[in-house]
Amino acid sequence: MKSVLSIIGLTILGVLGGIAIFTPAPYDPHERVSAPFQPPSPQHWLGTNDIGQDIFSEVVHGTRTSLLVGMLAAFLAVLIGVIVGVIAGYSGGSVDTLCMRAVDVVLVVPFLPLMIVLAAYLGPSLLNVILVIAALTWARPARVIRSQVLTVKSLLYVEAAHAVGGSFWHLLRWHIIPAIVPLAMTQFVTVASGAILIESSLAFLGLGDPVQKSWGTVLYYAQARGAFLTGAWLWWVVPPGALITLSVLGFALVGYALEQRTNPRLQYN
Amino acid sequence: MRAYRLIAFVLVLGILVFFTATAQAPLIRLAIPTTERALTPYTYNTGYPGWYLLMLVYDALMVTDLDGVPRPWLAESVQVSSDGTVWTLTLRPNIRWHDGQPFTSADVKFSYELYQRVTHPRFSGPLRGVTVETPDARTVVLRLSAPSPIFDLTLADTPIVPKHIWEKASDPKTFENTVGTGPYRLTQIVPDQFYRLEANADYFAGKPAVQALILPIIKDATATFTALQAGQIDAATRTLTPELVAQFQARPDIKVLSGPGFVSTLLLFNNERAPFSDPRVRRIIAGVINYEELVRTVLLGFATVGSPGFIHPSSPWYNARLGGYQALKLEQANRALDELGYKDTNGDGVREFPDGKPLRFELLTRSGDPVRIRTAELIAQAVKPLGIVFDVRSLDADTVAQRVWPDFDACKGRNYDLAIWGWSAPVMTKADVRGLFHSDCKVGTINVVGYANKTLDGLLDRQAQTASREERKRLLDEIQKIVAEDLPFLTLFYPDLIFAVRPAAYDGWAFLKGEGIIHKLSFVKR
Repeated sequence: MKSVLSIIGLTILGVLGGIAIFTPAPYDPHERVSAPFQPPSPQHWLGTNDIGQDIFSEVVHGTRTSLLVGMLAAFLAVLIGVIVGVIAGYSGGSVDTLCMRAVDVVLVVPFLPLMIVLAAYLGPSLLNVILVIAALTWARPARVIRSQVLTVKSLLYVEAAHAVGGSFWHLLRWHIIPAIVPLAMTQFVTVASGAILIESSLAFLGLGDPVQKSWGTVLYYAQARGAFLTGAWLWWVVPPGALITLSVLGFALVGYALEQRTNPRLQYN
Repeated sequence: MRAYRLIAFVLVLGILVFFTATAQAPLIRLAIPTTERALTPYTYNTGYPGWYLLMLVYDALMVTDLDGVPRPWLAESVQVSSDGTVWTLTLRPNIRWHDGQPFTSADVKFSYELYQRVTHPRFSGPLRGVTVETPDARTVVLRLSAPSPIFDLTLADTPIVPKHIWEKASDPKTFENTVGTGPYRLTQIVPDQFYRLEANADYFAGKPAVQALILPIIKDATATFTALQAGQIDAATRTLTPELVAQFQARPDIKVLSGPGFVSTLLLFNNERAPFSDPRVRRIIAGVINYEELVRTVLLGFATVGSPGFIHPSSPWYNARLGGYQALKLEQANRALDELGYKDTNGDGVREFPDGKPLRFELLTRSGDPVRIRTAELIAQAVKPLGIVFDVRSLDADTVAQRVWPDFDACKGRNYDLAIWGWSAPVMTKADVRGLFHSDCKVGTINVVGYANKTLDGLLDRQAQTASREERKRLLDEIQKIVAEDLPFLTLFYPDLIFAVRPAAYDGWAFLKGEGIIHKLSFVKR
C-alpha cells in the first residue's frame, strides 16, 4: 500500500518535473497569439486569456515557476533549518535556548498575514517570494532536526567517538549528517508543497510578480477578468487549479512514504 | 464569495417580500456597492454613486444636461455680469420642500454659507470668496472674488438644504435629516442592507418616472452581476467590465447601455528625469504605441482612444482640430534616438545613455487593476524594439500613489520614472488643466509629472480667470495644442462606462456623457 502511494506520488512529481524542464508549450506564453477571451479550440487547447495569450502555454510555463519556487524555497528553508537545528542540538545550553526561542517566535507568528505584509513591503519578484517563504518556514525543519541531533549525540558510540577526540566536523560528517538526511528530505518535501500553495496564494491576491507566468497569476487574471461570471472558468480556472492540487498531492504522497520510513517515532511505535 | 451571495440572496428575498406586501409599482431595484450612511450632503460617502444618489433627494440651482453643460434647474434664469464676477439667479416659483414648506432664496443663502462655515471636502472649496445676497425671496445674487468661467458647474454641484431644518442642527456633519426638494424622498434606511426612495409626486419638474427605488447594498462585483442575471435586481451602479458584455447582450431580458467615460488612463513620464525630461524622447515613445490596438486588446474596444491634449473628445472643451498621436515607423524612431545620442554601444540590444547607463526604467502600476497591468505590459512590448526596456512593476495602489504623488501633494516631488495612472471624472468635467499642467505646484496641484512650460502657465492662468465660457474654450484649444506637442504625459484611453439593466423593470435611462446613467435626469422629464 505504502509503496503504491509513493509510486503514484513520484509519478505525479516526475510528470510535472518533466513538464517544467521541457515545457512542451505550443506558443510563447508572453506572445499575444490570438484574439482575447477565446474559448478552447484546436489551435488553443485552453483558449486565450484577457490579452490573447495561449492559456495552455501559460499553464505549462507556470509549472516551471511553481516548481522552481517550491524547490528553491524548500531548499533554503531546510538549509537554514539544518544549520540552526545542528547548532542548537550540538551546542546545547544557552545557544540551544536562544535558537529554540527564535524557532518558537517564527512558529507562532500568524503566517499568512505576515506573508502578505512582507510580500507587499518587499515588492513583487520571484526571488522575494522565495526568500519570504523560506524565511517563514525554516522553523519546523529546525526543530525536527534538533531533536534528531540530540538523539544522535547521546548514542553511546557517538559519545565514544567524542571521547576519543573526534572533532565537531568528524562527528558531523560520520554520525550527524547521515542521521538527519532522511529527515531533511521529508521536511523538504513538506515545505515544497506548502511553498507552491503559498506562491499561488500570493500571486492570486495580486502580490506576486504579475508579469511572471505561474499558476497563481493565471488564476489572478481569471478571477479579475470575470471568468467566474462567464463559462471561462472551465478552461481558465480549473486547469491551473487542478495542477496546484496535483502537485501538492504528489508532494504529500512522497512525503508520506518518506516519513513512514524515516521518522524515528513512526518507525518504532 | 459564497457568503456575499447568500447575503445578497437573503437581502433580495427580503425586498421581494416587502415589495409584494406593499404592492407599490413600478419599482426598481438598483444595487449599490457600499453604504452611503444617511445620504445628506455631509454624510454621503462616495463621489460615485453617492453624490448622484444624494442629488435624487436634493437639488442644485443648476443641473448638467446630458452633454455635460449646466442649465438652470432650481433657478429659472442665470445672468452673469460682463466681468464674470456677479451671478444673478431668479428662482423658480412654487417649489416646496418635501415637508411642504416653500423653497426661497433664504435657503440658498443659508446652504452656501453653511458650506463656507462647516468645511465640506467637495462643496466648500469652489464657494471660497463667494458672497450671497438675497434682494427678495426669488432672487439670489452671488459675488465672486475673481471671475470663474466654470462657476456654473459649482452651481450644478452644490445641493441646497432647507434652512428651517438645518438651522436647528447642532453639528451639520452628523445631522441626519434628509428633507430636500429633489424628485425622491428617502423613506427608509436599513443600515448595510438597503435604502428605499419614494417618488416626490409634487416635484416641480414633473412626476418622477419610477415610483420607488430600492437600493440594495451588494459589495461584491460577481455577486452583483449574478443577482442581475437571476433577476433579483434590475440595475446596478457598478459598471460592467468589457469581457462580460457579450454574455449580457446575448440575453433577451438584459440591456447593455454604454457610452463615453471621463476617467482617463495615462502613461506618466517623470519630466524631471532624463531621458523623459526631453520632449523629443516623449514624442518618440508616443509615436510607437498603437493606441487603437491597446483599446482593442485590453478593453475589447470599449474605450475611446486618448487625445494627446488630454481632454476627452466628448467633452464640450475638446479641441476638435487636434489630431491623434503622431505615429512613427520603427526605423524613424530608431534613427531619432540615434541622433539624440542614445546608442546601443555594447551590442546587448538595449540603448545606453552617453555615460553608459542602459535605458532601462521601472514602469509602475497598481496591482489590483488587471487592465492597467496589461496596458503596462503592452507598452513595454511596444518600446522594446527601440532598445528601451520598461520593467513593469505592479505594487499596491498606496505604494504607487506614494511614489507618484507623495501625500497627494505635488510640492513633495516624485520618485518614479514611468507610471500608469488615471484621473477621475471631475478632472475632465471641469477640464482642470491648470491643476494638471501648471508649473507652480501650489496651483498645479495634480501636476504629478513635474511638467513646466512658462508660456503655458500664462494661458492656464488666463483660462481660469476669464469671464466667459467662449473665451475659455478658445484658450483651452490653444492649451491642448501645446500639450499635444509637449506630451508631458500620454493620455492612452478613456474606458467606456458600461451598464447592464433589465428593461422590463424600467427603460427610461439617459446616458450623461462621461458620467453614466445613474443621475437625476434618468428619472425626471428632461
